Amino acid sequence: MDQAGIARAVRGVSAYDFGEPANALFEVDRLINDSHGDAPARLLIESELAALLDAGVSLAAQQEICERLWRIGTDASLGSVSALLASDDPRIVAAGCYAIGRRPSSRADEVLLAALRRAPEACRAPIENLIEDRR
Amino acid sequence: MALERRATRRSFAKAAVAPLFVPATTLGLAGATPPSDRIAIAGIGMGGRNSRNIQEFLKQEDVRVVAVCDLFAERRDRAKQLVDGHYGNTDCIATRLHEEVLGRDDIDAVVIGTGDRWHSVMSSLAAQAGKDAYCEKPFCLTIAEGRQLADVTKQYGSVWQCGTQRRSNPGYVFLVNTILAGRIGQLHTVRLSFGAGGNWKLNSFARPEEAPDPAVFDYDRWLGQSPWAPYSRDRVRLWRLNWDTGAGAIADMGPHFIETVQWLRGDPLDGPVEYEGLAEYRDEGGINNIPYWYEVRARYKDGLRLHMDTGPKGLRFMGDEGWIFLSDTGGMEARPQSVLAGLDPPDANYIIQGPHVRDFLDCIRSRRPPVSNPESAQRSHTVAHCANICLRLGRSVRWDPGEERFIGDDEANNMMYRAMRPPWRV
Repeated sequence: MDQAGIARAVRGVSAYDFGEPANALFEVDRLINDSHGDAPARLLIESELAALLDAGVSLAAQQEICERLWRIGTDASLGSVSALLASDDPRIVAAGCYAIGRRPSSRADEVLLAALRRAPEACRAPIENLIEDRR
Repeated sequence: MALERRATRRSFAKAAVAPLFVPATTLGLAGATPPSDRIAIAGIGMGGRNSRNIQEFLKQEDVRVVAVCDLFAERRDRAKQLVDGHYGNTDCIATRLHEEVLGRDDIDAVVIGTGDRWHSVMSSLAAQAGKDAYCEKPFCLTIAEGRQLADVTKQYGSVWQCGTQRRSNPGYVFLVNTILAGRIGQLHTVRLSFGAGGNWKLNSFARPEEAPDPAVFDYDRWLGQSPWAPYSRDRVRLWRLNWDTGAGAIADMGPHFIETVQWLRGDPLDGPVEYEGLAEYRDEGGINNIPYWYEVRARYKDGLRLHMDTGPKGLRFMGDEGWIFLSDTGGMEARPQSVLAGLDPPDANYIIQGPHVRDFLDCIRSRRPPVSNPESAQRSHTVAHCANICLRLGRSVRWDPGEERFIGDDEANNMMYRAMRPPWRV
């Protein structure tokens, strides 16, 4: 797959917000489906999605990125997701939890436990629930 | 009713305030069910579908509908009017908060007709509160959510019936028995058509709007487990068309028909082992992100083929000596015509619901599992969810019904579960 094309398509998600056209999201979904079995392409999609999280995007875009990482995320994007878990906005923490889901990963378990230790009271529930569901 | 804890409390209350003259019907004489033995029911989520459910419960002589709950003030008022009108009084409790229903110890069971994202969560809360539940389908948004609920109902010993009323429909019983009698020979293919219907093609950008006063419509609660999103009338109106709030067209209709196939096969815990399919989506970028057209082909391990598509609603069973088709509106057709010769198929219209409600109520008394119990419902819903995951991935998947996992497919397995927005969970 064309690396520049992947990067360009994923970056299209950066402008997404609630109520706005979701074509860029659908394009990323197509990329994800078409890259099945193509590990380098998948890794590029994942790293581009994570880079958007690092760069700072709307809550809506964060949620949508996390829903894609829910499918294809690996330990490679855990750093970006852990930053969401450190938020003091429970909606953003919930998005980070969505991204991790039940994906088997001891590193993800560690990230969740670390996030729980420093989470403010209002943000603990999504992390606690996910830790319990992952057991 | 006869649940021990409540009977004891009521017996005490009755003894303390017994009136001088007691009507025969109050004592259960003259063939009537005494009030103390009536099953006290509350309806949760009182839109059109659950209002029809509640009407069916109101017809049952041994039931008393005592409360209704909805996040829309207009719907709660309408539901209260429905119940009060039936009994000729103003006794029905109407509330926005399900906690006020589940916290009452004079309610035995709840009838859940909320949006799909609430079904398993509310069922779980009901089980934990000691209530039995009749719950609309799809009862879960993911395979893992369904598994969690099946485990919770087992843990709390609650009676739970999925609202797949076709399972108790005499026409479906006839259909299954006719096929089992060998009238179409060896069954090799089942085609389940869930209907195209214009509603699955609707769309909107769901532009954010100011949320209503929660007393009029409690939007945050309405969202339930779904990821947070700002209020929009269209988001609420079109909730079935987005994976965040609904489970898609196959899971909406599939559990009814798939359950029939599983029942026919004699093993409700089985399921297909392979899925492949094609789908079409709206592409203008609105909130509709589910397939509006699809064709999924699944295969059981013994070779039986299960096709799911958007044809006119109905089930077609194809054997090596003929086929039989049941329309969702009840009509039955077969080739050769000798398949149905000498038989008198009963009405199989989907609206027939009494027998399913009756089965639930009888199970509340006997404590045996209903026909659409959590385990069988979980497996029939799993087929629908596997089909959805196959379509979302855009490729074939293999499923292990025993392990309840996709085989060699991490991405598909990730999609079996999703984190819920607190405080709601199963």
